[in-house]
This record gives sequence, structure tokens and C-alpha cells, in this order.
Amino acid sequence: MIANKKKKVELISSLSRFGALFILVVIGSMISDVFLSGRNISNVITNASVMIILGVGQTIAIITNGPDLSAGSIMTICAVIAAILVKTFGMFFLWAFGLAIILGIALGLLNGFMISKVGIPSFISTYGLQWAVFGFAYLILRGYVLYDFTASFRFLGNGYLFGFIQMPIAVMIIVVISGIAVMKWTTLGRRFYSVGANSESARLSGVDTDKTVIYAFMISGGLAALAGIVLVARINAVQADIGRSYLLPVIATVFMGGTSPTGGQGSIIGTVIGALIIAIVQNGMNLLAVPSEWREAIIGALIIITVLIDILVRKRFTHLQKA
Amino acid sequence: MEQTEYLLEMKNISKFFPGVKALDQVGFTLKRGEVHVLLGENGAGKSTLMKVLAGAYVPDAGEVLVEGKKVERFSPRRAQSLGVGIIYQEFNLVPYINVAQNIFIDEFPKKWFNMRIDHKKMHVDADSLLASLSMNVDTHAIAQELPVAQQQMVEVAKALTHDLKILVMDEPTSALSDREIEKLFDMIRALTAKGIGIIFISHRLQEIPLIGDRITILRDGKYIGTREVRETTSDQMVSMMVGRDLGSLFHRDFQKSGEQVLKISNLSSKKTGLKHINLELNRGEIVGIAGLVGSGRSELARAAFQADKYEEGEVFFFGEKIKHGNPRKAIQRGMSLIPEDRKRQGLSLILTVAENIVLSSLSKLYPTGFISFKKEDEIVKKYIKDLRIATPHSRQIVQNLSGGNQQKVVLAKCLCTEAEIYIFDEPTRGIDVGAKGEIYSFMNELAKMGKAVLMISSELPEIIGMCDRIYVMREGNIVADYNKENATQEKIIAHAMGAKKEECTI
Repeated sequence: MIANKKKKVELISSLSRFGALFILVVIGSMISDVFLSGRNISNVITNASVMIILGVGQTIAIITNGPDLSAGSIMTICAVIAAILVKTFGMFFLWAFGLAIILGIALGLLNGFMISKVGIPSFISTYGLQWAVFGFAYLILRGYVLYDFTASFRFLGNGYLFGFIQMPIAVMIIVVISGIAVMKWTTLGRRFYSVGANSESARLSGVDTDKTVIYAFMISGGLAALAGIVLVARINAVQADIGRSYLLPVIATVFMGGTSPTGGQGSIIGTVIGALIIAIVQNGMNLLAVPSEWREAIIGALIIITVLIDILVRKRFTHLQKA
Repeated sequence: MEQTEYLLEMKNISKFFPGVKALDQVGFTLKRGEVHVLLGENGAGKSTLMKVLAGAYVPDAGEVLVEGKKVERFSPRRAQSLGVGIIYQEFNLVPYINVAQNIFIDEFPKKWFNMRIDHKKMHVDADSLLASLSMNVDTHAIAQELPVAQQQMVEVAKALTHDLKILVMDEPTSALSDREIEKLFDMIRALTAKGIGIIFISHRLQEIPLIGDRITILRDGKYIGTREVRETTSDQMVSMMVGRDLGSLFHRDFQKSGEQVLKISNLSSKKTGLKHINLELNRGEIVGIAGLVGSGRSELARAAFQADKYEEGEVFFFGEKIKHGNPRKAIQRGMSLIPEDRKRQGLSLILTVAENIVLSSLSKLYPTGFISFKKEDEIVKKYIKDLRIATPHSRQIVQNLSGGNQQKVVLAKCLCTEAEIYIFDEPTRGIDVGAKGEIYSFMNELAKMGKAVLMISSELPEIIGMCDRIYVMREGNIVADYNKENATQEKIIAHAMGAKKEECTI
């Protein structure tokens, strides 16, 4: 029956992703006794949290228009600004966080404006902005490292909510739930999907496509800022390149999660699973003491294999249902 | 020898697309050195037939014989090696390389044991090919910088690099001036003198006697007949093209028209080529816009819907002038568009039926910004039922529906906005007869409810069968308008094609 074909394929594809995650957990527990301990699991998820917070924004950007390549740099500059405001100017930490997040949203607005109103493809405009913003972060910090923040600042990274949930995990859960809510249950989410699926048809259907793209990149910018702050609060130090290593893995988690590079299709929960898969494999490599030279190659293979399985599963099941 | 009388024979060719019979047992023959004109309305099956000949489509039934020999396993490469050359309306030149490279792109002349391209020989050969067509084109010129007429000559020269026997030209004169057309015809005569058979697709009735030997007419994918051009008048051609007998599909309850809802005055746009358009639309009416593809019909619809900008002129909704319009404003004021290209403009194919139907009404249905799935299901189910959309459930991906049902989803999206003005751009293209009839009855219902309908169509029977009034467009102008009482297909087609000499100058 053609009837439920698409839906079933969608379901099986997401099941296969959960399956991959489950298999990794089983392998992990066989490799090491430590793996399934509460402490280790909590650590894995905490490590994945920054990636997931970034990933939610990235997923929305990719579904709507295209990747936000400036996310890593926005993350950096906002963390640097928050750190300086607290450290050098002695500002109350919550105000500093607020200002940093506003800056992230403003940079996202600039991205959205360049893409929709000026008409520069997202790949180029966000990539260009990344260079400018990284450059600016260097200009401010000039190679110095700011470290040793107040306990209230660090609470966001190291504290516990209700005494047992690590703060990064709590923040991540709030971000993920709001992200899912926006995409599923609001008209804005509908507009994100419709612009990504077919921008011209969305425009002719009365969707303000320019505004929609701008909102998507504002969300991505704001979440990048939040991710930067959480990261700094956790490692208790900031320098001008902390976000650099996050960008490409985040985009990888989005694609591992089944979001379409051409837009209009994808889910936040998929991205969360993608990020968890990467975090578990990294954790496993730590526990096994895999030499560092091998790690990047393994992560690369993992990304390709995950996406490949997804493609094969979709093909196989679309095929089966046709027959 | 009967076998070799024809260069090409296509027998009983049929080709089906989902929901449409694009070709239904069509026959076609071509003799050596003849120009055979292929004539038919848009969607009659001309291009499909030529794509079969080009090897781009595999026919579902029928056979193709080249020089009396049956061709098995047609493919683009096979077609080329058999001597079939095709010049499409959209040229296939590579825009950034020079003329000689374009001509020899399939096989460059080589030197040094095939290790290097022999540029010198290539230019010399290209020169002599072009000279044989009595063309003077600089072989070093970059393709995209040439005028259209010269690009066309380069295409012909490119076809000649193979052992050309059959040359298909798809509306070759549509972008040429009179002088260029003269040159093109000279070249065609030179080719036929060499024994090459030409298949000439054209919409311009007045040029057919100048160049054609025989003419074959298709209509709705069916073979209508083949005639000697000398013995056929253009009136006869028109009546063969137009046919009759679709009348029963149309049911229209005519009534007195009501208040004016849309007025376009003196609208012009350089970019889209619209010139001084004046148009009025009233409640309870269905008004048709007839004309050939490219005559500016869709451009007019898009301008009215505020989807494209226009430099001059004004558009009034309910007597109120629209300033700085965009589709969103048009929809808010009660207008809706069912666009020409349903897949690119009408639908988000990868989204669901429900998501598509409510897309234009998101703010109206959910003023708080939060989606109520219960409300959505109720509304969507109602439209699925009312419009008889054949879908298993409201969360089906639109891509999986047939053309007719996809079109109904677009219509449901417009109805959901509770619009007062409906613009249908080619509403029945590519959908089967049953769905066509349903679309017509929905249009009739809309008019009966006092809504206003503007319908653009290439299919004259539906325009004549459905409309109170008809505007005819050609080259960005409205060249004629008719009432229900005095409109005939012959008159409209004559205006749309400019068959009458005096109207060519308008």
C-alpha cells in the first residue's frame, strides 16, 4: 500500500537510528564496566550537551534554508564577551549572559538579513561572517586566556539542578523540548518547514519567507551564544578559538540525525541522537585509550556509516513497499 | 522499393504518464528532403513524440523505423548515431565556451595520437560547416554572447557534425525576427536539398505555407491527420487542431455578474513583457485569459497576485489600490492563486496534505501562533471530503498523490483562506479527464457562490465552455476580448497566433 509508505519509511528510519544508539550502548557496556555507571553516563550526556544545544539551532537553520557556518564563531565571541563583562567589568553574571545571548541573536539576524534580503547564499554569508567574528574575538582577547570565574558563573557549567541533574543537561533538555515544541506545535515551525521544502510555493502561499529565514538564523545565533556560555562555565576558561572545533561535528550530527541537506525535512530528536552517538563513541575511545591519531578517522567513518545506513534503510523499505 | 520511401516511420506510438495518455497510437512519417510540419496545441503531444524520436522517452507501445529498419532499444546515443538531430527551443549550447568547441563538443578533432585537441583543425572545420550553411559566425566567439539566431545556426552546425538524416526543430522561429526567419528558411532549403528530412514544429500558422511540404496534426495525444500543405487552408488546420466534443464536460450556471472585485488598469512591466493591460473581474463571473504559452498570461496572473513587481499601472481589489504588494497581502485581501507549475509553485511536495492545505491560512486559523491539531484535522478532513481528494489520510505526503489530487490540494489551500477572487493558471494541465471535470464543477460552484474566477488556459474548449468573458493575449498585450456569445475557438486562435495579417502590427 502506498498509503502509509512515507510514514512507515520515516518511522523505520528513525527506529534504525535509535537502534544504532542502542547497539553502541551495548557495545560500550561490554567494553568497560565503567561505561554504564551513572557517573559515566551523566558525563557523556553533559559532554554532548553543548553539541546538542548548538545542534538544535543548526537543525532549524538547515531545515529552513541552509547550514549556519558562523555558529562556531558566534559561540566564541559571545562566550568571550560574557567572560569579559563579568571578569573585567564586574557585571552581574545573569546580565552578562543576557547581553551575550542578545549579541548572538543579533549576529543571527545579520546572517538572516544577508541571506534573505541581500540574497547571498547561506553557505557564503555565514562562512564570511564566521571569519569576521573569529577575527573580532582575536582582536578582543589577543591570545590571552581568561579563566577562573566566580562560582555563580560556573554554576551553569558545573552545578546541579535539584541536586542531581548537571546544569548543562538541564539547559540542554529545556532547549531540546522548546525546539521540538516550536517545530511541531507552532505556526513558526510550520513556516520553517514550508520555506525549506519549497520557498517559492511558500511565498505564493503568503508566507513571509524573508522573515522566516531571519527568525531561523536568529534562533541559531542565540543558541550558539548559549552553547558558548555553557561551555565556558564548564571548562572555567575562555580563549579566542573555543568554538572552532565544534562547527563541523555539529553539522555532522544534524545530518546523522536524518535532516535533509536540501531542507524541509528533519527533526531535532534525530540531531540529539546523532550527538549522543558521537559522544558515546568518543567516550568509548577514552575508556579504551584509543590513540589520539586514530580518533578523528574513527569519528569520520562513524558519520559516513550512520548516514549510509539511513540511506540504505530508506531505499530498502521504499523498495519493499513498492513491490 | 516501398521500404525506403520513408526516411522515418513512427507507427502506433503510445506513451502513458501517471493519469495521462500523452500519446495514443500516433503515427508519423518523414520523407527524404521534405519539411514536415507538426502542429498542435500545447499539450497535444508534439514534444512527447519528438522525445520518443530523440530516445529520451521509451514508448509504451508502437515502433520506430529509420530507413525501413526497425529500431530496437532507442536511446539518445542510438538516436544520434541513426542521424537524428534535435534543436530544442531552449538551446543546448555550453554558454561559456566558444562556437567551434560547441560544434565539436561530442567529438573533438584530435592530434598527437589522440592526445591533444586539434584546435586549429577544429576552427577550420567549424568555419567550413558554418559556410556550408552560408553563415558568417566567428568560431572564436563565446556562445552566450551570440544573438539567438546565430546560436541556433551553431546548433544546426553541431547537428551536422554527425551524419545527419533527420533534423527536428522545435519552434525555431519563435525568437527570431522576420529577416532572421528568411535566413533560417534558406538554410532549411539547403538542408533538404541534401536529402535531409526536417520535422518542423510551429505555432505560427502563417509561416507554414512558406516552408512546409506536409503537415501532421495532433490533438490531446491523438493523431488527427496528415495533409499536403498546398492543399490545406489555415482555417482547415485550425479546425483540425481545435476539434470539438469536449462540451459535455462543462457545466456552467450563468448568472448576472455582481460588484467589481478586481481591476487592473494600464499595467506594464519591462521584466515580464506585459504592456498596458486593462482587465476587470466581477463577482459571479468566470473570466478567461487565452493565448499561447509565453504570451504573458501567467505573468499577468502573477502581477495581479502581487507575486511579481510591475513598473507601471495599478491593481485595485474591491476598489482599493494595492501599494507595495506581495502575495501575503493579496491573500489577506481575499485573493488566491492556483499557480501554473503545481510542483514548483503550488505545493510543498515533501510536506503532508494537511500541512499544505493550511499553509496559506496559518495566521487566520491559529492567531495565537500555536497549532491545534484537532482543529486542523477537522478542517482538512472537510476539504478532503468536499473536494473528493483521494488520499488515505490527511498526513499523507503530497508527492505520493496523483496530479489531479495534487491540484485539488492546491485548490483546498486557496479555499481555506476563504478567498473572494480565485486565479486559476492552467488548472487542468497534466490531470486526467475525470479530475478535469471536477475542477470545472468546483469553478462553477465558486461562481455560483458569488466569488470571482479568473482562468488562464491553453485549452480553448475549456475557456469557451466555462467563461463569461474571454481576453486573448499575445506578446504581452491583450489583443482581443469576447463575450460568451461571440467567442469561437477559431477567432481566439487566430488572434492568439496572429494569423490575421492586420493584427500582427498591434
